[in-house]
Amino acid sequence: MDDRAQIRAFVQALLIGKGDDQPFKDGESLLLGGRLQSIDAVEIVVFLEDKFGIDFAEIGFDEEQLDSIDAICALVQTTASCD
Amino acid sequence: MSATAVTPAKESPRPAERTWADFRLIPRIETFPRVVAFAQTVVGKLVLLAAFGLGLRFFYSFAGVVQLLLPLALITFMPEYRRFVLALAPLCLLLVQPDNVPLVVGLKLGVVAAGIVLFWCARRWPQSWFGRRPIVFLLSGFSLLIVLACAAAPRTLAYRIMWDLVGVTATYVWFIGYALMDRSAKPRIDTSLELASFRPLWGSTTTPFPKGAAYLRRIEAQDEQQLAVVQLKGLKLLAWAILLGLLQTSWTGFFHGYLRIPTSAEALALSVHGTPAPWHVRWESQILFFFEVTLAVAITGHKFIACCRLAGFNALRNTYRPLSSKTIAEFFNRFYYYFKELLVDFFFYPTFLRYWKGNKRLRIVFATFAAVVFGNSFFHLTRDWDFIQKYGLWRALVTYQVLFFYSAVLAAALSISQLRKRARSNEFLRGHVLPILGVLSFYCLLGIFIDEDRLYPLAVHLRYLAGLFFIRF
Repeated sequence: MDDRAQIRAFVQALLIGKGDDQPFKDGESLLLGGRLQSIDAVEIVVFLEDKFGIDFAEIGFDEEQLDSIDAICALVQTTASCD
Repeated sequence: MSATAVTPAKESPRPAERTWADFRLIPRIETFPRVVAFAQTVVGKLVLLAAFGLGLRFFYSFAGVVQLLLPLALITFMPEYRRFVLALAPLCLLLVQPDNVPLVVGLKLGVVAAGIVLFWCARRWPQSWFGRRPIVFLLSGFSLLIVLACAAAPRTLAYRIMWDLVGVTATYVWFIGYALMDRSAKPRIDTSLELASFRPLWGSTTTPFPKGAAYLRRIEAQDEQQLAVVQLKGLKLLAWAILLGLLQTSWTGFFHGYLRIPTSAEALALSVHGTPAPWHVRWESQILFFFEVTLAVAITGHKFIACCRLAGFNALRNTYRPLSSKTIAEFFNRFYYYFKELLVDFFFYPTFLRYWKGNKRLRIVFATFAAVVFGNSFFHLTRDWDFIQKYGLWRALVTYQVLFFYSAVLAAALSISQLRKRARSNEFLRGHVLPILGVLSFYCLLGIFIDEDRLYPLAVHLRYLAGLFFIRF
């Protein structure tokens, strides 16, 4: 599974865990759009720290970086590859 | 995988049928193509503004409506000048207020100017000590200002100026904080929205509605059609606020007027004075209080966000179906969204990202306590600076013992709620009714410790809570 697919699978699992099984696009705003909450952003942060070694305390944190699959991939691309 | 990939939708064996869940008391007018098209015409815009103005009259004086509606009309007809109007209008309104005190106006302009300078410095020197931790600098500076004001000799000019400055800063500090937080956000050239968000045209409490300029940029309508949709959503939200306002009036008249059930503050006072209301009446007061607070928060938030949407920003509601929450964390998120966001942005994330990285559970608990105990207490202590002025710093801190207790209990409950992974059940009773009842009961009882007047010590509130369960001490 490539990076994008892994990220998408993780975010999808988060949504399903909240009872949200609606489809979503890679560019869709999930945090600002209200489908994911701050606690979900925390889950994504831990996932990105563990999986891609991103240190948000070092690079600075902005919810917009985690707002969509595209945004997360763009963030990951600065430290690793995201197909 | 392409950027536009979509997860497969569940196959539906037959066309979607309309159910009771689809019923809307206020129709989703923003989804009707004809209405959206009409709202983009000159006549449509005029109708929209007139309807909105009429709605606003439910909450504001005629002058207040005009003050709000004029800039909103300019934005509606000339959306390309939206940021300019939003930046300038609050400053103009500040200067033309009839009850202006020159010293306070001067201090307000000074605090806004200081906010702009701090924002500029944080952008200019991002690697400096200030540029790396501007929020710590801002909140520490504000705390120091309060301490200095406490040290000033009473009834002197310095005392008056210092406390007026504290009062003015208290109303701007979180707005400036959001601007500083957004220092690295793009674009880096146009900063008019930062100025607009220091004290937004659509009104706000001490909590910024809706967050800062970077957030506003992300939710701003980009074309005429988007503007029409957002404005129709604003009109709809205002209609909601009016309906809830009518409910609030009838509610108060029926329960406290006709049925003569005391308010929770009255019931508590009766207990303190040794003439407690009957057991069932105390419960009724407490339950009513919970719904009254929820209604009041919803109405206030809807009013602000409705105006914000009319200005062309598709902001999320401040209160969204809190009574359907199945977890304590979910209610906290749905009840007062922008205050929760403030705690998360200023206290939770910075703590979570720096400390206890090796232990996820401990990280969440520590960050939650930092936000809800420290952040919530700091917010209320500085918001109610007049208590500090009246009682002095130490005695004011003592009067906040009830708030500290409230915050600690809430933080513990939120931590457990966030860490607990509960299996979802579709069963009506176990999956829906019982979780919702549990959440509402928790917040209803926690409401005993909401004491804005800070009249009684913690022991009194604890005794009152125990009395509801026939426990005496």
